Formats: sequence, structure tokens, C-alpha cells
Amino acid sequence: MARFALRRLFQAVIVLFFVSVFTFLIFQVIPDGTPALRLAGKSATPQTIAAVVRQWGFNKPIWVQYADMMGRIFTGSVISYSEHVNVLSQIERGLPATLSLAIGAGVIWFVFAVVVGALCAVRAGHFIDRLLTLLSLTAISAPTFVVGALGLYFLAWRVHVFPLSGYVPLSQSVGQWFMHLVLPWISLSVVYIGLYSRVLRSTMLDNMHEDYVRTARAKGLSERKILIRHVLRTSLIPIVSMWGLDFAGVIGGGAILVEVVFNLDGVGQYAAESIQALDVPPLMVIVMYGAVLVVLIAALVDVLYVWLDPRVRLEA
Amino acid sequence: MSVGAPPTTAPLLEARNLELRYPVRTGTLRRSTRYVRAVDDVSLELAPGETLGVVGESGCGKSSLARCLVRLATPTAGSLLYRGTDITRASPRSLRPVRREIQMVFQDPEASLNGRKRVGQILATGLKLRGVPTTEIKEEIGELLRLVGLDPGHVDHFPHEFSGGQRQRIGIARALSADPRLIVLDEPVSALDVSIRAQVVNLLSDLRQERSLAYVFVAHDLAVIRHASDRIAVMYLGRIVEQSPADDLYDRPLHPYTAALLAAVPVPDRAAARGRSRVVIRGEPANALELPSGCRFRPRCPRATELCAAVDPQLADHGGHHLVACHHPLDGPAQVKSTGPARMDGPGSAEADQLRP
Amino acid sequence: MAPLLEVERLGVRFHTDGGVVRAVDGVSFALAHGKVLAIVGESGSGKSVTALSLMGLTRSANTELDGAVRFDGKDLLNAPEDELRRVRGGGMAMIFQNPMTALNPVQRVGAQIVEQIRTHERISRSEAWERTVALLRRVGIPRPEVRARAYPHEFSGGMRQRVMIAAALSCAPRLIVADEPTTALDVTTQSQIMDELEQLCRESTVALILITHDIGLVARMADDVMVMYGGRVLEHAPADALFEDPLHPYTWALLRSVPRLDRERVGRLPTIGGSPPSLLNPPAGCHFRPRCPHSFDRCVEVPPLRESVDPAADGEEVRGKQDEGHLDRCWLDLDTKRRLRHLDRLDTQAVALACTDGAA
Repeated sequence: MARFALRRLFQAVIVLFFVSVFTFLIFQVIPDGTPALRLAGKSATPQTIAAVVRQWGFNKPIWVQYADMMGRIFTGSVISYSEHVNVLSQIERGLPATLSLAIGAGVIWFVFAVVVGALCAVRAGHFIDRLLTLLSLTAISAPTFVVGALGLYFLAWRVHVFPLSGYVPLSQSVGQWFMHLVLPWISLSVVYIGLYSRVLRSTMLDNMHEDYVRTARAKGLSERKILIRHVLRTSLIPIVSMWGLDFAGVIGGGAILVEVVFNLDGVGQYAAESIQALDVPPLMVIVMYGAVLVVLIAALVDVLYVWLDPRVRLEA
Repeated sequence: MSVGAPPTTAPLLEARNLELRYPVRTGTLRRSTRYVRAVDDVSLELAPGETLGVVGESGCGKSSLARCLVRLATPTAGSLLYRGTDITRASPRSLRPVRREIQMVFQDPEASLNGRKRVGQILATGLKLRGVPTTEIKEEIGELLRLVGLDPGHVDHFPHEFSGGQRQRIGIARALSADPRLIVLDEPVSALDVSIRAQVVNLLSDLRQERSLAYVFVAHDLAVIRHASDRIAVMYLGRIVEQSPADDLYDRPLHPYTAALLAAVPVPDRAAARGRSRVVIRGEPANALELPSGCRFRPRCPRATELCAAVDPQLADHGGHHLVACHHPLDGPAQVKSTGPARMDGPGSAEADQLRP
Repeated sequence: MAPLLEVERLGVRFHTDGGVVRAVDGVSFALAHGKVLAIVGESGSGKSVTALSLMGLTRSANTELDGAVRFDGKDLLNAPEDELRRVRGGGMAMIFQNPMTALNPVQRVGAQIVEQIRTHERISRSEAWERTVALLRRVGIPRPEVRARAYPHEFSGGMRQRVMIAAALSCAPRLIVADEPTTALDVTTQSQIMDELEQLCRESTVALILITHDIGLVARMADDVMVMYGGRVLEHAPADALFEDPLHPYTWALLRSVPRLDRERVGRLPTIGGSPPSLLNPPAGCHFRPRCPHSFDRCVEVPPLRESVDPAADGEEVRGKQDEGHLDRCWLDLDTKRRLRHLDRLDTQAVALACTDGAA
């Protein structure tokens, strides 16, 4: 187990290295990417620009710039170009909103996907299955921001069920926190519920014809027990691995659109603003932070996987 | 050539100390690689027109050996000679003419025939490879189908439109389409029903006479293999433990494992079934990764002694081209350990005393 | 004593896209406590469907079942599902063909047996666990208290089938239905498992229905034999009678087409021409008619399953009676069958000899 962890750690470091190099290089090659011009202001003299270049080290060789950047990331002293503030503190400010959004949505979409998928599988071919299938397919094809916008329009603007936008910290008011997040949670979950329930439905239908299910029936188990203990458990395996990666993506700032639509002021929104401003340091940090989370959660999912499917062994 | 004797003429196919090992990665970082010798130091010869049966239980390496012989797998050691030419590590290009002459028929015709091709297309490939003129291909296909007992009118059908037995006939026709001299048959009838099995075995023996084919017939069914073969090799954990003319093997098995295999086959006869002492060996073959010292059959063998643990027995001729790798073959003086009546003891147990000659 | 199991005119029809498949057609038999009945047949003969239907395991929207299955006097075929569940795995247990897939891969084997015990009996988890370990020991699994915590993939095929047998025995069944229990196993393993199964059944007077295509196994195990073909029973007899005096042309052809180790090798195996009937469009009358060398006009009518008619019975010399309870489904009379069987044997011997001579 310890060796497994060590091996995963080694892999993670390599992944993170490449992610950082690529992200860094992308901002070197995009047009209009010279940060010194923007840093120095609109009517800067060549002298000011030269000073800025020297001050920020833009004249150094590219690998030195990269090393400087990574060094600052590790010491937590990255300063953004546009606001000249510490990036880490900005991210810390946005983290509660992003975590609330991701964790809530992750739980919602997993639970609903399992319920919908199992229901479809059990009632395969019946009315309820066809209805849910139709809804799932609609959900899969609906972009998140459309769902979010429609939700906002009907449930917050026309009928004042939910607040329009913004984020209220959990510590301030649990009720307000919840009400502010309901619409974002739903708009983020809808696609995943649709997708996961389809996968679960087909896996379950496959597994229902497995020999061991027939064995379970021959043992005298009730259909409900067969379904839960024998069919559902094995069918959850693919869902769990999908969930791990998607959840990691969302928590790592992947819910940019939802955060922007609902003005949650989370990490995703910070990333969106930084992209608009071509502000490299925050983006580097956010990407690295997301990558670390993805790698970490992927490792956790692997462990979960072994628990769910003992045929997969960490060793051997 | 007398039936059953090893080839005196130049052999068609010859394997010398053939070995096929697979790496098995173990340990956490998958760094420690251990090897499973699926085929371990196997030597055999096959004369033109001869049938060699290879029999053994699952995991004994018989299918791996078959794959080596047709060069679907490249042996990791030893050499393989086809009509005197070394093809052990021949390049795909230089193998091409040999490939035509050595064909293979698989156990599961459903999986080994391309389901999206019509029977005619499947057979045409081999014919084209052989350089049959396009104008004659259609006729040849009809001829092939007739030869394996199928209706030539079914040339445009897909494999799934046939029954299991018919599909295996297509598999055989596909092998024949290249006009081979040797066909390696890997469990060709085990997926078939009893009544169909006999039909296919007979078909194979007819074809062999008509086309003077040589066969390597790999199977786990001792009764079928006895019927189909001139000589038989018995495999256990990658090794040939006994090799002999077919009848002699069944009349006078020398290796305790062969005797056990034979005794385990249920006989469709009431009196015989009741009277026979059936329990012969216990347990299951050792793990291929952790072979016992000396003889591999030792942990299950009722005749095992200290010698068997110390020295790995080599194949030796016991007269009449009957080869056996055993320190205490069944025609020699028995050195049976005194044991009580056999009872289930799980794998590795060697407690059984029914094997006394 | 009333028989343990009585099956009367069991019929199973599957409604498929291609039409109605008559998988089982009018199968009747009775089985006494502690006896072994073998059902022999090739694929598509309906033997497995018969076995599954006894426990209602073929029930589905597309299946039509008729007839009666009485277990301990109670009809199971029309019983409600929860009543059936009490019998499944309790009084009647089943062992399936492929031990590699019949166990849940993500559950410990011990847990799978415990689950069955606790479905049928109100006992604590630890009691059920103790019984499971004892059962595993009884079927010959070494270190059962450790192995019970292992997963199926950590067992060999033979060991998994032992686990299946332990599970089948867990709730003191009176009948075990074993569907090709050793087909997926090697011969030396098969021999061990069948010994085990036979001994366990005899020890606790459990009746056994053995579904198989292996005539050798039948000879070894069975008290009674039922030969099925195309969904129908063609012959049903005590095992000794069936092997001594097979009366249906299919049975004797089947017995002969098995290559045998206990006889001299012949040059050519006797075969049955053609292939088994399609159950979507079965031939009219006797299902074996198209492949039968002895068929005649009357065979287009379905013959009844009955004791053979003995023409010698009306006053003439009786040439030897058939055994009691030896039923077959053929229009030929007893004498003709025996004569034809003898001729067939001579025929195949002649062919075999000719081939052997030719080869030498």
C-alpha cells in the first residue's frame, strides 16, 4: 500500500511538471501576450516599460522565468500582473464558494444519477424508463449555462423562489447559503445526472444477465436484495471512477461557467477574469491547484475502486 | 512407415527444446518480473501425413505449444524446423510461404471466423494467397465446401447462419483453402455436441487421407485424441511427461499422471463405471509461478520419493518409442509410500494409493 | 412414500422475435427421495430449461409455462414468487455449469453462503458464518476459516465449484439440481468433484438431478436416466436398463457415437447424420425423424412416451421382456428395435473394421 502511494506520488509529480510547463508555454506564445506592455500602463514610456521588464524579469531566459514562477508558487508568493495582489489570498477567498458548489453538486448528481439509472434499469422498456431516458438525453445535450440562465430567469427573476445571484458564506447564514446555491447546484448537476444515469442503466441491464445474478435468484433472495446487493454494487464501479474525475475537475475550478452565470465569486470566476486580462500568474496557480486536486482525487478513486472491485489489486 | 513410430523419414516439423515463457510482473512497482514457462523444453517431431495428439489439462501449455508451432507466438528459446528450415525467429516476410503450408483451426469457430464476411469471402482469401486464378476461385470454393460436407449453395451466407458444427467445418475449409501440409488443431471439437463431434473427427480423418495432411491435434479429451492420433504426447505444467504411439499409451500408461488422467475419464458403461476405482489423484496442478523442485507432478504423485524432489526426470525411451519422464514409471518396481485410504485433502495432497500397479 | 418431485407435462415456450420456441414439450417424471436422475441431451435438447423451470427460474414476460411441478406435494409452477423463493436455495438448491461466473466477483465467498443461509433461516451472522466454514471444510476446501474471506477470483475452477456445492448444501436441501456441474472443469478435477457430490448426496439422502451431455458421468452416477431431444423426452429408464437395452434409435446412436477408452480403437467413429432440430420450426411428428435411419410412414405422427409394444406378447414366444418403467418415444415395436439396434451395431463394426484395415 505504501509503495503504491509512493508510485502514485511519483507519477503525480511528473504529471504536474508537464501541466505547469504547458500552461506556462501557452501564455508565452499567444498573441498580445507581452505582459510588460499591460503592466506598464497605456501611456508608458519605453523607459518605464524597460523598468517593468527588468523588475518582473521578462528579459531573463524563458527557463529562468519558469523556474522563478514555480519557485514563487511553492513559496506562495505569486503576485498577479493586473491587481498586484497575492494570488494565493485571492484563491483562498474564492475557495469556500467553489467547494460549496462542487461538493454539493457532486453529492446531488451522484445520488440522483444512481436513483434515476437504477429506476430506468428496473423498469426498462416501461413508461417511466422512456420518460427518464428522454429527460436524460435532453439534460446531456443542454449546456450548463443555458440551464443556469433558464433557472435564473424563471425561478429567480419571474418567480422569486431563489435569490438572483451571489454567494453567502455558510458561517453567515446556513439558510441563505443553501438558497443561493440551489440553482447553481442544479445547473451543474443536470448534465452529469443525465450522463451517469445512462451509463448506470446500461451497466445494470448487462449485469442483470450475469450468471451470479441467476445464482442469487436460485439462492432464494428477493428481487430487491438481488438488485441492491448483486446488481447495483457491481454496476457502481464505472460510475465511481467517472465521478472521481469529474468531481476533481469541478472542484479544481472547472465550474467556470456556473460560477460566472451565478456570480459566485469562486475560484472558477477568478480564473475567468484572469483569462480575460491575460493575467498569467493566477492562471498558473489555478491550473496547478486544479491539477493537484485531480491527481489527488484520482488516487483516492483508485483506492475506492479496489474496495468496490477486489479483482483489481493495487499490487501484482 | 509404421503407424505410431516416430518419423524415420525427414520430419515435416521438428521442435527442439522449445520454450515459451511469459513475463509476469509481480510486486508493487511491477518491477520484479517472474516468468511462467508455458512451454518448457519441449522436443517433438512430426512426419508428413502423421497425426500427433497433444493432451493435457487446462494450463498445461498445450495451446501455447500449438501457437508456437504455427508461429503465432515466437518461442523464447529452442528451435523450430519446418522441412529442415529453421523458422524459430523467421521474419514475417520469410515466413509467408511457410504460413500457407501450416494452418490452424481454433476451438471456437464463432470467434475465429470474421462474422462480417460471407463464407465465400472467407475461403477466397486463402485461395488468392495460393495464387488460384480469379476465374477458378468460385469453383474452388464450391469444391472446398463440398469437401467439408457443406452445401456449396451456402457460399453467400454469414458464419452466424450456421450451427456450431457447420461453423467448425467452415473453419476447416478455411484452413484447407491454403492447401496446407500441416494443420494445427487447437481443441477443434470440444465446443461441439457429442453427435456432431464424431462427424467432425471423421471428417478430419477423411481429409487427412485424401490430402495427405499432417495434424497436430491438441485436446483435453482423451477419448477423442486417442481416436484421432497416431502418436500422443501428454503435457503437464509446460512439459511433455509421456509420449508414445497412441494405442500403447492407453494400453500401458507409464507416467502416473497419464494413468490418473485415463482413470478419471468416466466410461459410458454401467458395470465398468461402478467397478472402477475412480479416485486416483487429488488436488490440482501446482502454481506455474512456484513450481516444485524436481518433478512437477511430485506433490500430487502417489509414487513420489525423495529422488523425485531432488532430480527433475528427463524423457527416456522405455521400449517401442514409448517415452516417459518419471523416476518410478508404472512398469518399473513400485516404490509406493504407505498411505491410508485416500480422502479429500485439497491441493497439493499426495495421499492416494490407488495407483499401485 | 410419495415422490419428492413430480413433474407433469411440463411445457416451456419462449416468445422470441423469430417466433415461438417450444423449448420443453410435455416432460413428465417423478423423483424419489435420495435418488439420482440424469437428464442427458445435446445443446438445445431442453434439459437445462427443464432444470431451470423446476425452480421457476425461467419465469419472465416472454415465457409461457404449463403443466405441473410438485415438490413435496406443493405445486411450484403456479406458486406465487415469494413461496417459490422459500423453496429456492432451501429445499431445492441448484449448482450451475460455469463456476467462474456463477459467484459474485465482488463478494467474499463466505458472505455469499452466509447470505443464502440467512435468507432461509433466522440465525445470527456469526452462527451462519460458523456453519459456512464447516460447510467449506466438508466440501474439501483447505483452511476454510481463512478461505471463506477470500474472493472468488482467488479460487481455482474446481475450488469454486466446491464453494457452489457448499452453498447448495447450506440449507439442508432435499433436492439438488446440478446443471452440467463439471463441464467447465478438467477431468481429474471433475472426477474429484463428482465423487464429492455423490458422497454428500448419499450421506444426507439428498436427491440429485444431474443435467449433462456426458454419457460417462451418467453411467457413473445415475439411478434413472432421461434422454431429451428437441425439447421432448425420447427415453426414460432405470440406468441399468438404458445402458443394457437402449430402445430409442437416438439413444443407441448417441451411446455409440461417444468415443470410448474401454474399447478397442475403431477406424471410424459411428455418427448420427445431420444436426439437431430447430425448435422454431421443428419437424412434424418425431423430432428425430429427419436423422433417423429407421423412420417410416408413421413417424410423422408424434409417438407417445410409453413402454414398448411387444408383438410377441399375444401368445407367441416372448423374447425377453423389457425392464419395468422403461419408457421410450418411438413407433417401432420392441422386437424390431432390438433387431435394428443389433444390425446397426454390426454395420458400424463392419465400417470400422474396413477403415482400420485400410489404414494399416
